[in-house]
Amino acid sequence: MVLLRSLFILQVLVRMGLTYNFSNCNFTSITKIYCNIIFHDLTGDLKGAKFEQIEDCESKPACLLKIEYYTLNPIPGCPSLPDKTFARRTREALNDHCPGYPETERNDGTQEMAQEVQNICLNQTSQILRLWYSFMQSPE
Amino acid sequence: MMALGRAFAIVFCLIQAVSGESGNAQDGDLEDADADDHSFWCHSQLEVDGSQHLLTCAFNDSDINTANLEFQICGALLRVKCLTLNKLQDIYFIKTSEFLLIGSSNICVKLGQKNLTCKNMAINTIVKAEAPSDLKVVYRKEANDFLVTFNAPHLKKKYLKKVKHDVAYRPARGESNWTHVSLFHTRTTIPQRKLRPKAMYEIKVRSIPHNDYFKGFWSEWSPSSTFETPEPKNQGGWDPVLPSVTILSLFSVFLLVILAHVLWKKRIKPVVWPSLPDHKKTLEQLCKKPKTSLNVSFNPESFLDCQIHEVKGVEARDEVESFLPNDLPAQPEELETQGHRAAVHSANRSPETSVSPPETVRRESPLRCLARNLSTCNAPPLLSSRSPDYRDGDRNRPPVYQDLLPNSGNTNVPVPVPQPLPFQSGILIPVSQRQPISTSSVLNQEEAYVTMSSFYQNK
Repeated sequence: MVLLRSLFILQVLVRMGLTYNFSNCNFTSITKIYCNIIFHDLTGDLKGAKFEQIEDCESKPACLLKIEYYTLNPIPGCPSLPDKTFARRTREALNDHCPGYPETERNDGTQEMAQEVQNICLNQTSQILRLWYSFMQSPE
Repeated sequence: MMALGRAFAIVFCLIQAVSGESGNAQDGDLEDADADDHSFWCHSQLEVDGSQHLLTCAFNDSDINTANLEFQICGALLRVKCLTLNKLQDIYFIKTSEFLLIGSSNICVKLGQKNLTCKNMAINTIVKAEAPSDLKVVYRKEANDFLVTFNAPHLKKKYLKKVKHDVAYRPARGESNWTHVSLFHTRTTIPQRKLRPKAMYEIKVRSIPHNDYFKGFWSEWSPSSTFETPEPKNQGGWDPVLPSVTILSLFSVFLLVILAHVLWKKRIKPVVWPSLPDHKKTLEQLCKKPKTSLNVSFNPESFLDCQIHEVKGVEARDEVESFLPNDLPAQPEELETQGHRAAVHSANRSPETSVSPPETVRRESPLRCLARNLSTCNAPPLLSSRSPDYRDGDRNRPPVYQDLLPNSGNTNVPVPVPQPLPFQSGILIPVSQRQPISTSSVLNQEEAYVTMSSFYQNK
């Protein structure tokens, strides 16, 4: 048990130093999933709310990296973001169409992130939607 | 150090995957003997109730005892690992929003804890469309067609909006084959000409997903509607406008053709294609035709009656001459000179001859003379002009061949030599001018006319 725990911690530490390279993803399949499912989930959650775009990306791998980071990592004021439907489907899309994408447990967030602020969640959702737009328009 | 860390991380990930945390692992064992007996089908329907989707499964063999059998779906779910379908008689279903709609799920037939048979299915590939509704058919008299409209529930859905529709219609009576029309919109038209007149028709519509991600099966048919085609136009009413216009147009065209044919030569052709005047006809109109047909002969004996005089010289005269009689006023001085000259000639030739005024000239002899010898008296038209009053019956008066050269070889037959124009050498002497010189040897105008016509006849 001690050995397994140590290995687990080591894995987490090592993982923190690793970033996945999304260059090998099947962008066609991911694009279909986004257009037919994730896009409708994002716009359904936003309900017409608009926020200023902060993040941008220049290539599909770079966009997926940011999308994955902003979607699957909780932020203060919106701890439930990774549990939203669009986030789960984003994860599933990356799992299915990015070879070697690490499927790992993520932190639930600290106590400071527990308080849900709707605008923060909406803003984060808006940023993610903008990143998907950039993904669609970026070269591979 | 980094490489070692990576190796440990990979090994740990593999351990986690094997431990079954992903939820995609195959559950249970497959019983080959029971697999065929418990074969089943499933289809999904999206957003049947808000955001909830419906999964329906059933056995292919309806005689199977389904008492203790149940269906379970695992994998490709949002927050749970597995879901058990509800049973309604022989149909198993579940209505949930937990479907990921991404990736494949494992659907198994379970007998207790034992999996009898399982299938991997992707929920997004077994989508059964919802049936259209509110099918209506309206007859449009002005367009002579039937407008078909219906409602497609997928237009209001979030995920699957694009579906293809199939409209089918046939006569209500009898067992005719259905006529199918494929379309992507919720309205279409059926031309009246494709339908039987005064007949009752049955019509229905269904849909199927038409999407690059969602695929599946045809929906159930919509409730059928009926419509009746009207009676043919010939029996019911008569539209007199079009046939009347057609008949009038044909009649007008026919009339135009006849008029064109009748008036072509006289009216139309001269305007459309004017022709150059025929110089012969024009000339003949100007000249008098000979009264009698002339016989041409070159026998010298036929000229015995003619007065043939030798022409010794030709004198130039500046005169404006014309063919027509009495056109120009006589110039007495010139005429006197000519008359004197002519008189001189005649005196030299035959002293006994005398020049008589043209009024005394008889008409018959020149005609007779010309009739016998056209070559002698047949001066070229341009060469002579005569006074209509000139009577060449006077044999004593020598003719004036003012354009003729002296013929030393044959003094009796002066040879006429054509000259280009009459205006220079006094070839044409106005009749009015010639009258005072009636004693001169001017050709009888009559003879000239006769000569011209004879010339053309000869030709």
